[in-house]
Order: sequence, then structure tokens, then C-alpha cells
Amino acid sequence: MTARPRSIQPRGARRFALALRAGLGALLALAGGSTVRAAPTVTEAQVRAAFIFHFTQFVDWPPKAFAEPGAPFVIGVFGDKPIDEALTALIRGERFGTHPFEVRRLRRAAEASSCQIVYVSNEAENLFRPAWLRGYPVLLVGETEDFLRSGGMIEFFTDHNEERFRINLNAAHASSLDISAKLLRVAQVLPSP
Amino acid sequence: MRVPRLTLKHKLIGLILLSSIAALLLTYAALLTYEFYSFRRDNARNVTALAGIIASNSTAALIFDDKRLAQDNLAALRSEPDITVAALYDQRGNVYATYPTGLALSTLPPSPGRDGVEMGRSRLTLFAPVTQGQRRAGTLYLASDLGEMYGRFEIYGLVLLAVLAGSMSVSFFISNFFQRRISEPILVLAEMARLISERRNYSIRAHTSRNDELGDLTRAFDAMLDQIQASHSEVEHARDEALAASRAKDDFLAALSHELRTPLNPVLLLASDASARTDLPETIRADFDLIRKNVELEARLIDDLLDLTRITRGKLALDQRLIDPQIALQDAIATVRADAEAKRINLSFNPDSSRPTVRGDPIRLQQIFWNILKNAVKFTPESGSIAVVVRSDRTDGRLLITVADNGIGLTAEELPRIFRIFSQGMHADDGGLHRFGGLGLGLAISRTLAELHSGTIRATSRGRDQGATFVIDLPLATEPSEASLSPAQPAAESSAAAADSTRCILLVEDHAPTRTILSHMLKGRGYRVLTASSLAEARACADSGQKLDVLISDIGLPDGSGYELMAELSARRPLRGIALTGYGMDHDLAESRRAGFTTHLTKPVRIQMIDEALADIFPEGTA
Repeated sequence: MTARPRSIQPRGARRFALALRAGLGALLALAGGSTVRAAPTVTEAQVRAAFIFHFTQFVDWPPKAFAEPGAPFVIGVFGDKPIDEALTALIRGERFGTHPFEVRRLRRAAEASSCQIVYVSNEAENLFRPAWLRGYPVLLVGETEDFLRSGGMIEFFTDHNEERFRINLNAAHASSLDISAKLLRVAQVLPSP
Repeated sequence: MRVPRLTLKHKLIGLILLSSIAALLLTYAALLTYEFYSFRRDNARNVTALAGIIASNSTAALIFDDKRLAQDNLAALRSEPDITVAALYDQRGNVYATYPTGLALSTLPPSPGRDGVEMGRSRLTLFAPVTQGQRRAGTLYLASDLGEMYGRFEIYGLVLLAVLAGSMSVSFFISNFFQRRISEPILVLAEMARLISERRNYSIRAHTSRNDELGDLTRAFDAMLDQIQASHSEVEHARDEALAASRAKDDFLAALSHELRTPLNPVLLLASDASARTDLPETIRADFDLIRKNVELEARLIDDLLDLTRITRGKLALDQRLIDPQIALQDAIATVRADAEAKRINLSFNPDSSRPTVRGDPIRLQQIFWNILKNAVKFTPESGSIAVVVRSDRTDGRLLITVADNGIGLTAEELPRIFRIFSQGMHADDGGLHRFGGLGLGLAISRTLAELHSGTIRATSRGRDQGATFVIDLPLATEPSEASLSPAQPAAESSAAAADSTRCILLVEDHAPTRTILSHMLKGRGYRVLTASSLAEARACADSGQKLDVLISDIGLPDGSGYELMAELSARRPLRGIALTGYGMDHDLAESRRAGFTTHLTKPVRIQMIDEALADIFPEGTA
């Protein structure tokens, strides 16, 4: 890891910083007023959107996940309009390597296979079953309690008012997704090692 | 101020030690400097690497806002005791996690500083970016205590110092050993040179079997000593021979002079007596007088020769005291007056009325004056004139005795040569004959004598037949002259003379002809004479109970000196004495007076001199 002068920090990094600040502000607010700090209210959707966006930094997709070098990195969202919006705000101008980010609102399961990340919210639980994309290089993120058991890879949950997530390593491996150990360290990993 | 003497040994040891210490110290300094910077660099590298790992591990914690994980990551620093403080700052620059946990925020930089290492005096601080991919998630701050680094550095320095000390002691022993190889032969040579110069023993040798330059030096030294020894023994031999030859020559001259003079004694006594006897015809007396003059001249020449040997040997002793030089001058004038009158020379004397005194030997001063006067008489033709003038210059402290004649004078070439030994004026050599006689010693001796009196003799002349002027220049004495030499007349003498009108003289002389003739003459003058040829005989005579009035004694006697005899006899009875000395003897007037002699005469003597001395002793006459 090399030191990098701040002056040439790219625009994207600043935007990311803004987003993260928003997320943290929300967490602090949720923590219950022990800390008094003037921070804008951050919604759970915004925090999750930020997490989803950050997952892209800790997960390696196999080359076959993209049809071509210029193909977009698609984050598909089932249900949950706020996340959709928060993500759209985050990805503006960002790229995943050579691939520009794109957020799609998914309505049919068939659309999911062309995404790199698919987020399934509680209300969209019936629209998509993770098992359907078994073997596809698609990171499946959800919030239902049995999302991992049904073949999902990352599942959000709340622990002491903190937004946390679990990771199903087997499912990820099965889909040829390489999850960074760094990400594993901040997550609950299933099956537990 | 005395600079302490450093021996060769110490210089060599010092040289070797200094150079090795200088080399070691330079190495030590270079090593320490290098190690200091490499320690610091290594430390910075280590901390940077550590920060990289911590930062890398902390990205997810920061990004996914996992404070516990962030704390745990930092807590891993427990295994690094150097790291005293660590903190994670979030994207906004707020402290997110600290190590140790719960560290007061006031001990931390309020916001992240510039990325990179900062090396302080006692600690190293570092800000490292926490990034994921291209994105910066925050900043890691680490503070590392350099105490341990300095501690290690100190140990390192101490080890080096120990090595330095060890090297120095080894170097000392080595230098001590090697300096001996170099300095010892030199010291041996130095000691040898000292011994040789101290004892003058040139037979000492150093001897060496060394193969280096010092061996060459020692051998060269020995070879040099061989040569010195050889030439030294040659020189010594030659010197010994020369000294022996010189001594032999001196002894020979002394003996010769004595032997030459002794036979003159009876001749002079006889001639002087006969020339004064009125019962002889005038022509006979004139013949005897001629004999007398020539004997006296002969004696004078022998004296000059002897003086010369003394001067060349530096053994001419002066009996210096305060005297009136005009007395000696008058005596000298009296001596030459007869000769001057014979040539009808007008000899005038103009004394200095202030009675000047000089410090000197009266006999030697008289000798100077006599030489100059005799010279003037010799070189002044018949009916000429000689003027003797004495003037004292009290401002300069000089006494000038000028003897000016109107004789044959001196040429410019002759002037510088006349005071040289064996050198007479050209006129003396005219016609290849020593027309004027003499060895040419008188002036040379006179000049030396004048110089011994801190004076000079100068000669001036306007040229041939223009006359010559000699100036004797002597330093004036500031003190007045001592009481004159006249001894106190014993009062008992006249009554002794009254008791027995016949004066009895004890004559002690080992030269039989002199003794016989003198005895004969004294008897002819009405004295009763006892003779002795040695101290023993003289004592026997004295012990025979006869009356003794005067002792006339030679000083150099076979079994003792006349001084002893005089002292011995005069202790027992009132006795007057006349000392006769050979010119070769050390005639010391003071010693003569101390022994009790009234008069001191130098042989050969004219009978008139003895007559005068006796007349002083017996003023009322012989009978």
C-alpha cells in the first residue's frame, strides 16, 4: 500500500466520501443520541446502498461475467425504490474497471442473470429466488432471514442498531465470485470456518 | 622553558599508535554514522511496512463502519512494543479508533497530517493512507518510540568501542614489539656514540647481523669507527711524538742555557774584577773589560733564547705588582749609558714628574726598556743623540715612554718586520753580514712582554737615516705604587759588626770554578769566607759554631734550594743574604724576600754587583 497525495484524489473518491459520511451520520443517529453531532439524517436505504456499492471493491467477478470490456456493471434491484435511488446517486460517474456502473430496477427474474449484483429486498422476496441464479457470476445480496440458506451470498441484518451483513462463502464460490478476506473480516461468514 | 624529551621509543610507539587510532576512529565514526542512518531508515521502513499491513486490514472496517474490527486491528500492535500510539482517522479526518483502546483524543494529532514518515528526536510518527483500490477510506497514524532504536544503537556503539579499545591494545603491543626492532639498534648506536665521546675509546663496536637499513647503518658506523680508530691512533701517536719532541727541545734549551751560562760565571767574575783593578795596566784592564762585555752579551743572548722558548710555550710568568716604571727605566738607562758614552751619544732623559705607576713585573719592564735602549744605542751613529721621554696621560690612563734617536732609521718595508722573531732590519743584512750582531730576538720579546702587560710597542721612522722613534705604551695603574723594596735594616747588625770586625760570609755554590773564584775574590776584599757546595755542607758550616754575617747562596743546589737554606739559617741567628740564581730558574723576587734574602742577583754576575750588594749590607765598610 503506497501513500497517495490527497490533491490528486479523483472526483469519485470525494463523492464516495460524501456518501459514506451520510451513512455514518445515519448510524450515529441510530446509535441513540449519545453523540450529539449535526449530521444530515441518513436512511437505512442509503447505508445499504453504500454497502452494496462498496462490495464491488471487495469482490472479484470472473471475466465471463461481462459480455465485453465496455459492457456495463449492472446493479439490479428488486423492489425497494429508496435503495434504487440511493444507488443511482452513488454510481454517477463511477466505473468498475472498464465497465460503467448502471442501476436497473428489476421486475422479472430473467433480467437478473445479466446483472453483476442483484439486490433483493424483503417485499421482492417472491419475485426472485437466489437458487435460480446458481452458478451465475452474480453477487446476490438480500435482507430476508433465509436469503443465504436459499443460495444468496450476502444478507444484511441489524445488530445493536448497526448495519451488518453475513456472507455465504460456498454460494459465492459456486458462482465463481472471489470475496476478499477483508470483506469477510467485517462480516459474519457462513458456513463458519 | 624545557621541552620534555621524547625518546625515540616513545616517538615510534606514538607514531604507530596515533596512525592506528586515527584509522580506527575514522572507521568507527564512519560505521557509527552509517549505522545510525541505516537504523533510522530500517526503523522507518519497518514502521511503514507495519502501517501498510494495519491500513490494509483496516480498509473494510472503515468502509463498512466496523469499529470493533478497527479496534482489534490496532490492538494487534501489542506485539510491537516500539509502537506506542496508533489511531485510525475516518474519511472526514475524525478519530475512528485508537491504540491503546480508549486513548485520550488530546494525545493524538487532532486531524491527519501529511502522509509519510516524520522522524523526530525521540519518536517516529507516520500517517499512512487507508485505501481500497483507488478510494481513500481514511488515515492510519502510528507513533513509534525510538528509545529502543537508540538503545540498540548505543549497544552497537559500545560494542564498536570495545573493538576499538581491543584494537588499540593489540596495536600498542604490536607497536611496542616492532619499535624495539627499529629503535633498539639506534639506541645501541647512540649509547655507543656517547660512550666513545665520553671515554674516547674508539675500540668499541656495535656488531649486528641484521639485513635491513639499520644493519647497514650499524655496519657503516663500525666501519667509520675503524677508520676513526686508525686515524685517531695515528694522530695520537703523532701528537705524543710531537709533544715529547717539544718537551725534549724545551728541556734541552733550558739545560743548554744553564750549561752555557754556568761557565760564564767565573769568566765574568774574573773579567769584571780584573777590569776594575787599578793595580793593572790600563791596556790589560781594557782587554778584561772587553771580555766582560762580550760575556755579558753572550749571557744576554742566552737569556733571550730562553725567553723565546718560554714565550712560545706560553710559560712566561709575570711577577706583577704596582711599581714605578721610571725606576726600571733609569736602571736600564744606567746599563746602556756606558755604551752610549763610548759612542759619544747624547742620551737625555726627561722623566714624568707625577710619579706614574703601572702594574707589572719590574724585571721584565726593565728588560723591555733595556732592549729598546740597547737597540737605539746600537743603531745611532757616533755623536748622535737619544732622547727618552716619559709622559703619562691620565685621561686615557696610558703611560707613554718614547725613545727617539737620530740614527739610521727604518724603511717602510722594515717597519712591520722588526718585531718579528729572527727578523732584523734590512740594514742588518746589508752586505750579507750581521753587521750589528744579535739574533733579532730583543724586539720580538719586548713586544710580547709589553703585550703581557696589556701594552704595546710602536716603531715609527721617516725612512733611512731619518732616525727612529719607539713608543712603549703601558696602561697606568690607578693605585699608588707599593712601598719600595728596601728591607728594614736589622738594628742588631752594627753591634754584631762591632764585636768582630772581620765579616764572615758563607758562600754556597755547587759550580766549583765559580765558588773558587768568588771565594778568592771575597777573601781578597777582606772577608772571611766559608764555602759549601750543597745544603748539607752549608748546614755543617753553620753548625760548626762560627760566626756568620752574610749568606751568599746559589738557589738551585743539588740537595735543595737556597730559599730553604736562608729560611733555616736566619731562623737561628741574625743573617743577611744575597741570592744568586741561574737565569733558567724561576726567580721569584717575592719568594726570595720571604726567605730573607736582601738582594737577588742573576748569574752570571759581575763582581761589582756583589760589591754593591755587600756595600748595602755593610754601609760602614768591609773592615
